[in-house]
Amino acid sequence: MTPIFFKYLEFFPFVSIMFSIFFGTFFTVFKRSSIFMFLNTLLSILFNIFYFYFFNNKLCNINNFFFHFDKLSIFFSLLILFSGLVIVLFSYFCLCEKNIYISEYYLLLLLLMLGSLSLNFAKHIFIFFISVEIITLSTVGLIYFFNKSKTAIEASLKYMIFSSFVSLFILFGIGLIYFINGNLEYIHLFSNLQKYDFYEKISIFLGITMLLMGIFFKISLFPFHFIFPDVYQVSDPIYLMCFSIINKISFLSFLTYFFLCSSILQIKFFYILIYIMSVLSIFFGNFLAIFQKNLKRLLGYLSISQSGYSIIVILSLLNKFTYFLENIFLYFINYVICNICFFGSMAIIKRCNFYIKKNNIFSNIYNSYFLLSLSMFIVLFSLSGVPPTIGFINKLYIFSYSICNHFWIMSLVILISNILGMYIYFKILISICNDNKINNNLCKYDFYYIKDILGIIIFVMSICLIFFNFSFFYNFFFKILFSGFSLK
Amino acid sequence: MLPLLIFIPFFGGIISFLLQKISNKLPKFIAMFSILLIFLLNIFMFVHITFPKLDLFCINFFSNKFCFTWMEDIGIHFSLYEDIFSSYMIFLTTLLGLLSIIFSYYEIYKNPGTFYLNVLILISSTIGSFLSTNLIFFFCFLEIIIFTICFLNIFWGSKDIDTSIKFSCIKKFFLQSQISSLVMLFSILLLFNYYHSIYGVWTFDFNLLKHAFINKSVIENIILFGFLLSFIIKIPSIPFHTWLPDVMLFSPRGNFVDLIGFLSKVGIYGLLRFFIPISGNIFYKIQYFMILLGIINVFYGTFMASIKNNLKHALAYINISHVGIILLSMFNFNNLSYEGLFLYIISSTISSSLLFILSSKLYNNFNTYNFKSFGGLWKIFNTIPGFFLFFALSNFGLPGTGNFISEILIFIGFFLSHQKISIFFAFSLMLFAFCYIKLFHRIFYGSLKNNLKCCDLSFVETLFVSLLILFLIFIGLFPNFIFNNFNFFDICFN
Repeated sequence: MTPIFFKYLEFFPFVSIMFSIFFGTFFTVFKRSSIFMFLNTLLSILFNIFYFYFFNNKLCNINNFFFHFDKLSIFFSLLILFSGLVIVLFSYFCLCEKNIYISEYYLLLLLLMLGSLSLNFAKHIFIFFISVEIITLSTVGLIYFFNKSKTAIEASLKYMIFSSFVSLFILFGIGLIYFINGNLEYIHLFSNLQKYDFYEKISIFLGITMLLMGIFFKISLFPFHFIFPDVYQVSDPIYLMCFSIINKISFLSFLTYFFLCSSILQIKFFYILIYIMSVLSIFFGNFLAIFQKNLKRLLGYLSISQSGYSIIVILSLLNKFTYFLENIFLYFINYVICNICFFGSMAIIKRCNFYIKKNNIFSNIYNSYFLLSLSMFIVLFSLSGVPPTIGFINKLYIFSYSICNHFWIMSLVILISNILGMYIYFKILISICNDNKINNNLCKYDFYYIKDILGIIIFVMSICLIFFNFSFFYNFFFKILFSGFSLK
Repeated sequence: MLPLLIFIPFFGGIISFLLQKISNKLPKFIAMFSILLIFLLNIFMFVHITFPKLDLFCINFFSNKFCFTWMEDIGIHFSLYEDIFSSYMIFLTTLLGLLSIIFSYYEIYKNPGTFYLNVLILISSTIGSFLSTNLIFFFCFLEIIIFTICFLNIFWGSKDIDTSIKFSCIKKFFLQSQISSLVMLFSILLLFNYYHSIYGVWTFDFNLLKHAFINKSVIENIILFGFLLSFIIKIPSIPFHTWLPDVMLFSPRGNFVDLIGFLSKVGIYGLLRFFIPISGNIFYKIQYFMILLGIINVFYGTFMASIKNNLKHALAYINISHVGIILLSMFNFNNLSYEGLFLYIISSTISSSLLFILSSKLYNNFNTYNFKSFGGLWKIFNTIPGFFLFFALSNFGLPGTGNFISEILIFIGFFLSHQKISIFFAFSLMLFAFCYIKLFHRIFYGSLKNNLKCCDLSFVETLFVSLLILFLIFIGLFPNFIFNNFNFFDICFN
C-alpha cells in the first residue's frame, strides 16, 4: 500500500467507474461486444462493493471539502451498488436478443451509477448540481433506449424539458443562497441566520425552496408528479428498476444528509411544507392509482405514494423517540428488494412471452411460473404491509410515528390512503391469480435455464422479506460491515 | 408446549405442500393427522387447566404461559397464554377443522398440497389469535386469517359461478376486513402511545395495557370505538354484514364452509377478551345501543333467511341472527347470560356448521343452491334429511340440546335486567320457528323435481355426525359439566 493510495482514498470509487467508462468507450470504437461491456460494468461495480466493504472505517475519518463519508451514506451507496449489480445481471440475460446498441446502454448505466454515487456523498452544493445533471443526462437517454415509439419520444422529451427547467431553478436558488450566505456547504447554510435582515432572510428562503423544488421533482412528490406515470408507462421493466431504485435512493440519501446537517427542519415553514407535500403525495398517489387500467401507469402512481412514505421515514429520524432510528434501514432494504423483485419478475415474464398484451402482463402466471408468482405474492404483501413481512413493521413505525407526535390529520389521511393502497395491491394480486386462457400456449424461450437462475435470485430475495426482526438484518448486514453501528 | 399448538399445523401444512408432487392423497392425511394431534394436545391442556391437582405429566411441559422476546425496544413479545376460555375456542376450531377435512375426503382439489397448506395456516393462525396476549401478534394472526380466506376463495372457490362476480365479491370482503383491521391497528397504537404517556413504558402486552384507563378522556373513547367497530365488522353485525352471504356462496366446493366461522369466532373472542375488560364505564353507555343492534340483527336475519331463494344465503342470514343473540347476551351485565353465552357459542357453532356441510352435500348432487331445484328429497336420501332436521331443530332450540339450555339461560338473564325489552324480544323465537319450517319444507317436502343419482353420506361421515349429535345432547342434558368449575363472568370482566 503506497501512501498516495491512502491520501486520495475517497476518490477511488469515482475514478474506477470513470476508468471503466473510458475503457468501454474506446473498446466500442473498435468492436461491439456485449459480453465485454457486461464484464466491464460488473467488475467496476464489484470493485466498488469490495472497496466499501474493506475501507468503510477509514473512509469515515476523512475530512474532505467536497465529499462526506458517514455510515448512513455508505449504507445507501451499498444499496445502490447492490441494485446496480442485480440490474446488470438482469440486463445481460434479458436484453441480449433485442437489436439495440447494447454497449451504449451499459455506458449510460455506468454514468448513472457515477452520478448517483457522487450525489450520495456530496457535501457541497457544487458537487450536488454536477451529479444531478449527470443523472438527468443518463436518464433521458435510458427512457428512450428500449422503446422507439412516439410515446417514448414524447415522454423522454417531456422529462428532459422539465428537468432542464428544474435545473435552472436549482441554479437560481444556488445563486441566491451564495449571494447572501457566501458559503455553499450544507452545514453552513443556516449558521448565521440571526444576522440577516428581513429581505435577506426572504431571499435565502426563496433559494432553498427552489432547491427543494428541484429535488422534489426528481423524486416525484405531489405537485411535481405529473410526468412520472408517462415515464413508467413507456419504459422497459429493467429500466424501471434503475429509475425507481438508483435515481430515487440517491436523491433520498442526499435529502437525509441535507436534513440532518443543515438545520432546515428547525424552521417551521420548511417543516410544514415538506410535511404537507409528503402527506398529499401519499394520498393522491394511492387515490389516482385506483382509476388506472394500465399496470405500468398504476405503478407510476404508486411510486409517488412510496416516495411520500420515504420522506416521512426520513423526517422520523429527527424524532425525540429513539426507536424510530432503525426504521430507515428496514424501510429502504424493503423498498429496494421489493422493487427489484417486482420489476425483475416482470422482465422475466416479458422476455419469455413475446405476445403478451399490455394490460394483463401477469395473467395466468400462476400456472406457468409457480415460484415466480409465489415470490410476487410475498413482494405485494410486503409493499402493502401485510404482517409476516418487513412492510408491516414499516407500516407500524410510520403509524406510530404519526400517532406519537399527535399528527391526527396526517394519521387519518395515511389510514385512508393505506386502505386504498391495500385495495390496489390486492387488485394486482387478483390479476396474477386470474385464470383466463389467453397466455396459455406461450413460453417460447431459448435459454431454459436462464429463467430459473434469475427466478431463483428473485425467490431468495423475496424469502428475505418474510422476516424475523430488525436484528436479523442487523446481524447479517451491519455487524459484518460496521462494528458498533449507530447513527450519531 | 403452547407454541406447539401453533407450529404443528403450520409445519404440517408445509410438509403437505412439499409432498404434493409425490401423491395427491398424502396431503389430506397429513392435514388430518396434524389436526388430530392438536385436538388431543388441547384436550390434555384443558384437563391440566381444569384439574391442576391431577398431575398426569410434569407441569413444565403443560405450562400455560410462554414468552419469547422479539423486538424488545418497542415491547413486542411473542407471548402466549391459555386459560379456560381460549382452550374452549381452540377446541371449537380444531373441531371445525376436523369436520371440514373429514367431509371433504371425496372432493378433488386442483393442487391439494397448496390447498391444505392454506387450510392448515388458517387453523394455526386462528389458534394463535386465541393464544396471544400481545396485541401486535393478535393483529398479525387476524390478518393472516383474512388472506388465507381470500386465497381459498380465489383459487378453489366454486367454479360454476362467473369469475368476475366472484372477484368483485372477494374484493368487497377484502376491503371491509381491511378497514376493520386497520382501524384496530390504529386503536392498538393509540393505546400503546397512551400507556407510554402515563407510565413511560413501550409495551403491547394486553395484561399491562388493561390498566391504562384512568382519566376517562376523549382518547379512551376513540380507542374503544375503534376496537368495537373492527370487531363488529368481523363478527359480522348488521351494518357491515354484506360480505358474509357472498363469501359463503363462493367458498370452496366440498365442505370448507366453516372458513368464515374461524373469522367470526375470533371476532367474538376479541370482543370478550379485549373490548369488555377495558371498556369499564363505556360499557354502560353503549349497552342499550348494542342491545338494540342485537335485536335488529335477530329480526333482520330471520326475515331475510325466510325470503332468500338461495340455501347458502338463507343459512348465512340465520348466522347473522345468531350473532344478534350473542350480542344481546354479551352486553347484558348478568352472570346467567354469560354462562348461556359460552354454551351458545359452542352449540350454535356445531349445529350451524353441520347445516352448512349438509347443504354442500346437497350441492354436490344438484350443482346449485337454489330452492327451486330442490323439493321432495325425503324420498331419495336416507341419512341427510334426518340429520338436517335434527340440526335445524337444535339450532332453533330443541329441548335436550345445548342450544335450548343456553337460550333459556340467556333469556332468563336478559329478563332479569331488561324486562320490557325481553318481552318484545321473545317474539323472535316465533320468527325462528317460521324460518326453519319454511326452509325445511322447501327442501325436503313437496314434489320431486329432479331424478338424479344421489350420493348419500358415507359410513365414516355418518358416524362422525352421530357422534356430534350425541355431543350436543350431552351438553344439553348435563350443562353443569361446563358450568361447575368456573365463573365465566369473572373471566370476562377481570
